[in-house]
Amino acid sequence: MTGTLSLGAVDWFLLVVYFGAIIAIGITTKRAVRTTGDFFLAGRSMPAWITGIAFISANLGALEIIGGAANGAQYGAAAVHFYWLGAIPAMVFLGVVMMPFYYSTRVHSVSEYLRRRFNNQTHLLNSVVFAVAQMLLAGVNLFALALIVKLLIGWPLWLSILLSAVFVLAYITLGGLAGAIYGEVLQFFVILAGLIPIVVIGLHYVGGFSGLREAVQDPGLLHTWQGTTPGHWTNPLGDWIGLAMGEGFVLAFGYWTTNFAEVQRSLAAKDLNAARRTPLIAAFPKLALPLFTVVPGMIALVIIPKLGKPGGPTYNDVIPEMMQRFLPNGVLGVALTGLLAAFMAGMAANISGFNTVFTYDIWKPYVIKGRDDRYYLKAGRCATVAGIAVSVAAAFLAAEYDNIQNYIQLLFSFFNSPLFATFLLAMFWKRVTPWAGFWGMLSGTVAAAAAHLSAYHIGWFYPGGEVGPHDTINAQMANFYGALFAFVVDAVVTVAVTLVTKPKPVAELAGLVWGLPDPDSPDAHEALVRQPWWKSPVVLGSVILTLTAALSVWLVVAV
Amino acid sequence: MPPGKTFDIRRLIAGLLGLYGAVLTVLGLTDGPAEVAKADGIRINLWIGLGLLAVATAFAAWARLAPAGREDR
Repeated sequence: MTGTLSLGAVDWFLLVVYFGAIIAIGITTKRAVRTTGDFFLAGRSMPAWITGIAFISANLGALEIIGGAANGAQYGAAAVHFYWLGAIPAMVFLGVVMMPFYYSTRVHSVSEYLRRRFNNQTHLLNSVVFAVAQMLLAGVNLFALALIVKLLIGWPLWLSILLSAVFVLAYITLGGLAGAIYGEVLQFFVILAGLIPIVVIGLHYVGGFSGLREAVQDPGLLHTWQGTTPGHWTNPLGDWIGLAMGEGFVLAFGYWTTNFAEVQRSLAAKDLNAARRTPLIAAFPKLALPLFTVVPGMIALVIIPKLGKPGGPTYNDVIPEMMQRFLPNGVLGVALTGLLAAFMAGMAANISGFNTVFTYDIWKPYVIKGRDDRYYLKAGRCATVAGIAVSVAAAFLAAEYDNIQNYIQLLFSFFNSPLFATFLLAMFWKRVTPWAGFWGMLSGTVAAAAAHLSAYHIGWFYPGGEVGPHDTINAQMANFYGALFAFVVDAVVTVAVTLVTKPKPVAELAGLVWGLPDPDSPDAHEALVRQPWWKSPVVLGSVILTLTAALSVWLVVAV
Repeated sequence: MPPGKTFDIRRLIAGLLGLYGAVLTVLGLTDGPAEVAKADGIRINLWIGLGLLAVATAFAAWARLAPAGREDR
């Protein structure tokens, strides 16, 4: 039962101590849980720095670390698009513009906004889709975790899947969202402590950034915006239409502004200002993350022969390979702990999103109505157990795809792109009718599926413009366009149905739509308080956007 | 939260990172040539250990100077 890592006693010690701390968090937070508000929303009491770090941490599961490095190896510098273009503008938009619609309306979930804005059918459709998606994504996290454990420590798949499920079960069922959030804050620092050595040593080994640039064989791997002309694209991620509109706008905004697993962290904040600053605070580490994922990926490409080629390690093996190659016992234990913690935190975020939506948006309104709060608290805990059980089963579904990122992007484009179109119209056009919301969302999801299936027959997505063998398609580009297509279909159908159906009376939309403020808003008093400049969402948003733009330009010019 | 000692995540962070930092620093000081060579000549345990101790100290100081439970955090 040995894996590729030679772990020493000190590594095991560091690992055990961390998980002891997690259990301690679970037990301590359990004592504070009295109501469903405490369990699902952490009592709306968290300061912005905690929710901000939890926000970025919740995203830092299997996807970011393993997938990010895999992307760095497969797409080169263009992989930064998934962090800068594909996240920062969306996070800023969420914090500056959209947050009041979520926070001041006191909705418990993103789905509940749909119920108040539209009707029960839209609400139920979205809730069910979201709940199923979260379980699948938790399964992906779980499977990736088990693979890593098998590779590194040598434990069989079933053992690591079960053990991880048990741990997540423990601290989520006990402490609810607060347990999850505190765990996420803790793991953020451990993860950084584990990834920094890999970057430092790796860069030292290849001779710094200039050494890395010279060692990269294929110049396309240094291109971020170069080679993105539509029709003649050579960039690993396709043309700028797909990149900017598909990834940068639809996919990015679709994930960051409507994914409840993220938004939920903001809802736990103690006031509206803290809720708005949450994604903005999170954007700063997000800006720096490519340094810890994309760069090791590119280094691995340079130093590991046959990476991503037949007979060699797969792109997903980058981080484990780098750990094995460079890290002595000690930091190795930290890196392993960080990795395992990140996987579990990612899974925990999915499960905490799932149990909230299941309890508040499916069970309580439609299945067992009218019971007291204690019943729903228990139901929430049971839902947690059931959700984890299903995701354990779903863990084996993720085996099909070489690069986990492709699988995730695919899933998101099916669910998130149409949802974002619906939200955008819902929040900014008061005329949108309830049935338009429903049919728009449904058609958008169908369109996403159709786009995925038909992409293989469209030459636009193949290098050279002609349809070729299916495995040569630019899968990312096809995903971007698919997301864009789903968005457009959703928008068109929503507008069309709006024109032939009845809207809700304007009085019912107060606080839910731009331009219709709620006179009874519970956060109205905050507008009277003068915040210091560094607590202003607009200031923070402008700073991060400027930094991102500057870095993007620099990367095109200097590389 | 029940009255009395409020749970302050900063103290837990300081405790965990401090423990990690102490362990890694000791390791870094006692690492042999094999470990240093593996990390391409960098005494990485020592550097990360010291870094973690610094972060832990910062969190402990912050928890001390602005205790949890006060309104203006």
